[in-house]
Amino acid sequence: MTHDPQNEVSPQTIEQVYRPVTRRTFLKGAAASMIGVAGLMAALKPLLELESGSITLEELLQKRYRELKPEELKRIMESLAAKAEQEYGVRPNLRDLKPLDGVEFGYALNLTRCIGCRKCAHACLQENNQSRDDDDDLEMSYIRVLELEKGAINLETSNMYFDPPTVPQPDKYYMPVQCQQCRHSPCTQVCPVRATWPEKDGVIVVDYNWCIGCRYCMAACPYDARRFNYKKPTLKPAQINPNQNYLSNRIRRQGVVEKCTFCLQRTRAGKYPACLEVCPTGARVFGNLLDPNSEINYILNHKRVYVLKEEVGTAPRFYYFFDK
Amino acid sequence: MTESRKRHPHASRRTRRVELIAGGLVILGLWCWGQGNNQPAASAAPPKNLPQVARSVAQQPPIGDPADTHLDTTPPRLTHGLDLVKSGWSYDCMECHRLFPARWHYGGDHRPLNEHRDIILDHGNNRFCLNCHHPTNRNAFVDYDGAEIAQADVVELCAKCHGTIYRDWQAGAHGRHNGFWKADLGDRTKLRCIQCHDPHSPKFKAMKPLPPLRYPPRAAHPPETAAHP
Repeated sequence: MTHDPQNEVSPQTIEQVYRPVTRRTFLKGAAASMIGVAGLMAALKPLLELESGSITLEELLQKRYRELKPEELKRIMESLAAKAEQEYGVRPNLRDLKPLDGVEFGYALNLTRCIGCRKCAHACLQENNQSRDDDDDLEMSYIRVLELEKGAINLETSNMYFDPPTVPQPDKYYMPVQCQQCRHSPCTQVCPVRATWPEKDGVIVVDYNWCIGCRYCMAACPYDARRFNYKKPTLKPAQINPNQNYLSNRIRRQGVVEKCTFCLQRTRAGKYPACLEVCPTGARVFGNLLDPNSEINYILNHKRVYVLKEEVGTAPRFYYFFDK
Repeated sequence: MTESRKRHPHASRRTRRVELIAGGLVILGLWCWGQGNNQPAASAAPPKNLPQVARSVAQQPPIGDPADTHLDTTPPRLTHGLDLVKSGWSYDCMECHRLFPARWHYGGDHRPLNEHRDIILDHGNNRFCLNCHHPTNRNAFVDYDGAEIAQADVVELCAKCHGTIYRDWQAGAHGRHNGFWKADLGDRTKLRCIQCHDPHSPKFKAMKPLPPLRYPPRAAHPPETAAHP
């Protein structure tokens, strides 16, 4: 019989066979069980929140938005409204407006007219109930106005912190960027829990009760259009817009992602978005892409429009154009 | 009066109110009489040859949906000027101009321009007031053929030169709309040319930008060295 090294069993010490508890293994085990207990505590935190009343039983046991029956959603919205009243002192008129039939929203922005005054960005804060207690809250506006050098569309050299005494500056032009409501939206495809999706009228929405705050969508968005609630929004009662919608501008929780919804609470009721209402130069045009006589279709038919970052293939519903 | 009677059933209070109103009317009548009979009272119809001032710029209907009080929809021009209107000017230009004809009417012998010296005309190659204003009826603008364009139809005056802008404005691609994009759900208000542009100096004025947003949070004040070329 020849020597077979593969079947040879190497000799083991008794310590190697029985693995007695040494100081090292004990510490390792203790650390692992500590992590396990901490994870369990974190997983059970909603139960503590339930007991303390910061979330309701409906919220804890809630199904995803699209599986909710109308009466279930109504009950959830009532409890959300009551909670908002308790926390912020104003009872919102919380609704759930559904997409209108035969409507697909489109937005066009005239870069020749935009003067970079940022009225749209600040109106967005007022309409959408973002936190406005201190200056750092300004970051939550869904619109960022970029200042670009005339002569090229170079986003790399753009500046969004411009603050000259007056705008427009003679050698600059301005480009407000917000959610482009893409037809092929990367943000909705990466969401691990399907908490964000495109609606029938083209608006990408987030269910704040379903979002887990992983921020994959923020990483996926080529336009940096999504915002994360690092803290619980702070709002004075006078700052609250009571016209609220479940999928758009209701006051968000801490730890969820939010985004521009073309002011769903307004546009699905037939009104213009807030950013358009305040634009002093009329640079913004909003309308129904499916209506051949709409203003937005006039722009698409008569102006030379372009979309931002066309090469990434997102097919936005937001168009930019220059005008004489 | 019938409404006030319904709302105020107490007879004594009602008679007191009627007395007050009657007294006010008498005082108003005396004041009008004292002003001289050559000037008709404000409520009376204007002279036949003058068109009614349709609606002064200061009395525009509310812009957009009245429910949107949290949004500042004031058009840029009204926020800046029209101090005469704000101080109670009736916007009836013929109050003065029926007495003071335009300088052109003096022939070659120009009288010095003492009024409207705050107006700096910076509108293309327009040099004369009467390029736009009607020579004999100052409540109206002048058309190509000398016809009058009512004040409310100022858009047609501007369209004389700015045809492409007028076309875009009609289609909703120039200027701002407020209110409802869906016509069957509510009204849409459409700003007219002179609500945003000062007709004497139509170029849009530079304005102070609102404070910059701070995003990402800790990049609120980017260092000066990280300059954007």
